[in-house]
Order: sequence, then C-alpha cells, then structure tokens
Amino acid sequence: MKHRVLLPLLFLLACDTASDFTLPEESYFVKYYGKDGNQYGIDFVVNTDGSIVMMGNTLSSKVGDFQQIYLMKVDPNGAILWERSIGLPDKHEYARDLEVHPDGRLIIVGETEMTPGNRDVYIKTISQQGLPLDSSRVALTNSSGLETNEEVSSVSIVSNGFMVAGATTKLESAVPGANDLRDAMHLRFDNSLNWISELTGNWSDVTGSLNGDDFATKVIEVVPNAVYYVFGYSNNDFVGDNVNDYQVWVFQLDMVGVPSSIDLTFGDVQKDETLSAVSTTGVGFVLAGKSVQGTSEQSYLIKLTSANDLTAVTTLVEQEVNQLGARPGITVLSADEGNQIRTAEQSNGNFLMVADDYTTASPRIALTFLSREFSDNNKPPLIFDGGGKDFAGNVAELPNGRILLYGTMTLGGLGSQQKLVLMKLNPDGKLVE
Amino acid sequence: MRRPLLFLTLLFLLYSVSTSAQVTDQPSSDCEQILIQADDEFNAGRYYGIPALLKPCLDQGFSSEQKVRAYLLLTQAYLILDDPIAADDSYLKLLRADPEYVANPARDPIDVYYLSRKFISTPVFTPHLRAGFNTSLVRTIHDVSTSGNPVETKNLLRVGVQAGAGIDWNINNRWSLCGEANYSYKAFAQDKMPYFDADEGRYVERQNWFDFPLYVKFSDDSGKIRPFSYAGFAINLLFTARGVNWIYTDQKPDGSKKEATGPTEPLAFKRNLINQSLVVGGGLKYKIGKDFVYADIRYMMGLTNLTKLETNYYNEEGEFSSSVPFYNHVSDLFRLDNISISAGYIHPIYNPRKKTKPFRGIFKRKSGEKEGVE
Repeated sequence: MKHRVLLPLLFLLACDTASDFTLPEESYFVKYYGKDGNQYGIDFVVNTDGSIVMMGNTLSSKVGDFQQIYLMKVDPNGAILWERSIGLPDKHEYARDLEVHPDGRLIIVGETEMTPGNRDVYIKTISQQGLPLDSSRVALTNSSGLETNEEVSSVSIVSNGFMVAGATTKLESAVPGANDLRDAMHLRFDNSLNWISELTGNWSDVTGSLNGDDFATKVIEVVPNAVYYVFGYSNNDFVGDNVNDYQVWVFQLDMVGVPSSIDLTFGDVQKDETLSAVSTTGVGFVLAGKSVQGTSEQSYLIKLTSANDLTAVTTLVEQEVNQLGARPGITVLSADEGNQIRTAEQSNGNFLMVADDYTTASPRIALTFLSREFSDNNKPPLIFDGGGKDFAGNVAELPNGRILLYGTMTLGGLGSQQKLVLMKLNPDGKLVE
Repeated sequence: MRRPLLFLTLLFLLYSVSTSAQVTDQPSSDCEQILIQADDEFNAGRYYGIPALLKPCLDQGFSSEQKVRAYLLLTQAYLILDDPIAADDSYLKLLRADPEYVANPARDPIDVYYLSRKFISTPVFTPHLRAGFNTSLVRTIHDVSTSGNPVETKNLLRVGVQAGAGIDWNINNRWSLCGEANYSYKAFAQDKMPYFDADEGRYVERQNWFDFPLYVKFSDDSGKIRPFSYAGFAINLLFTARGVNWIYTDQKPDGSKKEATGPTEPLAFKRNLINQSLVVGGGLKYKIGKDFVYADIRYMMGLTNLTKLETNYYNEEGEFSSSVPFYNHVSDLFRLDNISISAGYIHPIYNPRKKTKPFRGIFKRKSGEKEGVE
C-alpha cells in the first residue's frame, strides 16, 4: 500500500539527468567549424570507425593573408579530433576533392594559385592522425614552355596510384578554335604522388576537342590499368549543328591515357549542361550537374549502366530535378564559390541530392530525397538557410540510415563570416531522434 | 514591470494598516460602567443577574477587549452556577472576541483554565498574499552546442518578479500544509565563448510562469517575530518564453568586431509547458494585530528539462531555424532553478471551536501538549 503512494510521488519528483536522454549528438546535430575569417566546406569522407574528415578552404580576416586548404577530423558526434591548414604561406590554395584510400590515407586535391590566372595542381596525402605524408604540385606548360592554368575537379583512386581530373589551358590542338578555352585534364600519379607525365610516354595528360571548352569532372578506372572513363562536359559541336552549348561528355581512355573514338553526350541543345560530380552505384554511375538556361538553373541527373567498354554503357535515367533558381549574370559556373551538386545512394536504392538553392536572394542548402528514377515525388527539398550565403558541400548516408550533410553556412547574417557546417540528420532529413 | 510591483506593495501596506485599525475599536464609557458593575455583582456573589446586566452591551457597545472581560466573567458565573453548557458557550464567545486568548492559571480561576483546555481557536486556513523579486540559475543537463570545440558557458543573473497568493491548512499551531498559485516572470542570460578562437554569443531568455507550490511548513507559534521554514514541490507551467537582445559577436584578431543582432526570438514552442521543481524556503513573520507581514526566501530547484528536443532546431513553421546559424546557438538541455525573495501579508481565519477527537496521523500530538494560540 505504501508503494502505491510513494512510487507516484517519486515519479513526480524525479529529476531529469543526462542519463535520461539519448545524447542528441549521437542521433542528430548541427556543428559549425572554423576559425577567424571565412571557411568554405567542400568535401568530406566517413571512415569505417565513424569518424569524419572534412575539407574546405580557409581565409583569415587579416588583410594580406592567403587562402589555405583546411582539413579537420571529428568523431562521430562532431567533436574535433584535429584540424590543420595546408598550403603555401604566400599563395592562395583551393581545395577541390577529398578521398580516403583503403589503407587509411587521406588524399586531398586542389589548386595552388601561383599567379593570377596560373593555377597548378596540388595533391597531398595525410595520415588519419593529420600528419602530412606525400605531396606534389604540378604545373603544365604549353608548347611555348609557358605555364598554363589548371583547374581541378576531383581525385580518384586507381591501381597503383591516383588520377586527378580537371581542365587546363594547355591545349592539344596546335591551332585552337575560338571556343577552345580549356582541354580536359586527367593527370596520373603513382602511389607516392609522383606525377606520371606525358614525357614518360606512359600516360597522356590532356584530351580536348578542336573547338570546344572541355572539362573533366571525374576519372573512374573501369578495368584496372586498362580502361578509364572520363566524365566531364564540353561545348564542342559534337553533332555538327553549329551550336556550341555545353553538354555532359563521357569518353574513354586506354592504358596510356589515349581516348577512344567513342564518346557519349547528354543534354538539351537549348541549355548548357555542366557536370559537378560522378559517383558509382550498384548499377553503374550517377552523374550530377546543372542545366542552365539563361540565368535559370536546374539540377540535372543521369544514371548510366556500368560496362567495361563505353560502347556498352546505356542510359537508364536522364532527368532534370529541382529548379534551383535564377542567378542573373551567371552562365558558366565557377567552382570557387558553391556550385556543387552531390548525390549519395541510400541503402534502399534511392538517392539523396544536395545543391545550392537560388530561389531566394541568397543561396541556401537544399537537400532532396529522390527515388531510384530521380523522381522527387513532388516532395519539396529540405532547406537549410542561415540568411546569408549558404552552399552545399556533400552528402552521405551513414550505415545506420542517418544522413550527413556538409557545406558552408554564414553566421550572423548576410555579409558575415562563413563557416563549415556538418549536420547529422535522421533518415527523413530532420534534426530529431 | 516595476510599477505593477510597487502598486502591489502599496496595496499590501494599505490592507495591513486598515486591518490593524479594525481591531482597535473605541470602548464605550457607559458599557465600561456596566462591566464594573457586573464585576461588583460577581464579587458580591449575585451571579444570576449578571447575564441580563451585560446583555445590552454585549449586543452593542462593548469593545473587543471589554467583550473578553465580559465573557470571562460570564464563564466564571456559569461555572459557579453549575451550568456547563452556558459556560462553554460564554467561553466560545470569548474566543470569538479574541481568538488568541489563552487562559492562564496564574491569572484566571483554575476552573476557567481547565475549561479553556476543551477549546481551540487555531485558524484552520490562513490565506496570504506575496510578491517579490527572483533570479534564475540555469543548470545544464547536456550541452547541445553548435560548436565542435568545447565552449565555456557563463551564466548571468537577471532579476525577475513574482506575485501570488496561497493558503495554509493548519494541522496544528506549528505544522501546516500549504498551497500557492503564483505568477513569475523569470529571466536568465548566458555568455558562450569562445567560438572560432574569439567569437562569443550572449543569449537572454525571458519567461512567464505559473508556479503552483505545495509544501509542508513549520512555524514558530509565539512571539512578535516568528520564524518559519518549509519544503515541498511545485508544478510549474512555462507559458511564454522568448529570446531577447541576442548578440553574436564576431571578434576579429585586430580588435574590431561585428555584432549580429535581430528581433526577439520566440521560444515558447521550444520549451516544455509542464515542469516540476522542489521547493525549500523560510523566513520571518511579524505580528501586526491578529495578522502578519512576512519576508520569505525560497529556492525552487527545477527537476525537469525545459528544452523540447523535437523543436530545438526549428522555427514555428517547422522549418530549419535561421537563428541557429545566425546566432550560432541552439538550446542546451537544462533545468532552471529559481531563488526568490518575497514580502507578504497573512490574514489568519480564526475558527474557535470545541475540541473533537485528536487528529491521528503523521502529526499526532503528544499527550499533554499545550494548546492555544499563544
């Protein structure tokens, strides 16, 4: 009888303590990272132990300082384990891509601005403890021996080394056409980051059309040491209709980097399609980019089958998804600020997509849930908006179904400092249990 | 906010003065002669005529003090006349005239003293009003920081106010069960730093509560100044909350800074409505006439987490709240303690009555314990 009185009383007086709650950060959180000045989130990887390595750029508020690559490792709950800045003290560095090697090494790739208009390729490996390992900085030269400008998009892990994709003003054609601004670049490095240059005769650095602006977004090794697919975009007049609109462009390289005569193109002749990222999935490849018409942008997704030869690759889905908004004055996209569209395949075969949303005055991060066929089922994207310039970085699904979303957010409103943001969301994209 | 409090305090004082004035009514000189005459009749052994002699003045004319003397005389007379029912009735009327009257064997006839032990005039219910100031202390259960690095939190005190009313159910002269209904305006502030080496945020929250404490009180039962203490629990309803004057300061290495401020942040939907707390406190009562003024210090230890986890990152429309990045802030899981100082006014509702069987229970009285008000 006494218990009937005492137990409700004890329940009434029970004190909430930390042990009464599942710690929120184990399930969801929003964390901002950075230091003085602005930091821009570009890419991240998740290690097998659940820790997360994030990469971005950092530029201090001190006048005269140079932008550095910013690397940080956090535990699964978002607590910082280590952080470091990388780059030459008197040069601007631009981080572009981060991968984790099966042996645990972190591979970062970016650009070093040697002089305005002359960027070099920068690749570096870092241990999981944040210690620098190997690095290489590559400057291509044209036929006149002058350094050319290199833009980097991504790094891929291939047999016995790495492949860096991007574009360069070192042009293949001796007499370039008016549209031949850049050629697609696909640099190869060995496992210790030694560059395997064209001079060795073992690899070709550049592929370009005679009269097109060509860009390689990603190189994927399809057959070890034999077949490589290069995914990119170009405004070459592929079909001979005298229209130089940008189209998604896929071509194949052989074991020494020589392209085959077969290539695939995708896009609407009325629009400019550019390619932001390529990921491999269970069925093949997912290509994510933008379709630009005038100042209006839309996300653009393509799903291709996998095959050992490009001639056997077929298109499963080619789909425009979200209206991303309008940006007056923007036609060709720069990678220096935002403009990243990334996808991640979920365990159920559906897809996540992040992109910058320009439907309001300042960009916002938009997370969209897509079906296997890239249908958004009329479900509006989840918007993450700080009132300033917020940019998408990347997205991934964790083994437990939760979602990691990475990018850049402005703290303190428009015109204030920008910081890296990492969000852990529930499978519905919500910041709840 | 200070003006209503001042008004309430003035009301207390006016009520106190007016109530005190009521107990000091003027005696009638004619009835005083009647009372002296009745006393002479009693001393002369002529008891039967005393009730008739006193009746007109008892009906109209005696002051409270004279009524006490008259009913005491009647009680003695009826006891001598062996009329216990009338004696009881006279003594009960005496207590109604002065509920705090306590028979004293050194002063009163012994038979009156024994008769008095059959009566009690302790107030059953004692209502009171209170108002005062408070300050709140945040006790963090879990830090839900938006920072990847540990951030130091400095809790800053802010002054709030409270006012309310309560009622004591007096178990006996010293122990009582008490309930209150109070409105409280509570506020607190937190400074959090450093973010990103040197940035800092200030987050002020203002809340409106209804507090319903229920507690057991022990009071001294004699003297002009009577200390008391109590302990219990409270149900606390947090019905509005807002963040005001939030500032996020971007502190640059060169000493310059940029402050981000914005409109008031609605927070009620991010807070749990129903909460509980433990209540302990104590103070001093000062007797004025039959009433009291009192001062009280109280500590309410919050037991429940105030932060609603499901809305912590969202605005009222259910969208990601732009204030999270704007102020680099999201609420921790926290309890809220509150310390208050109140002044109040007590008006005991006396209920002179003949004793029934003693109350048996946790407050069972020891046999032979003195009873009475004083």
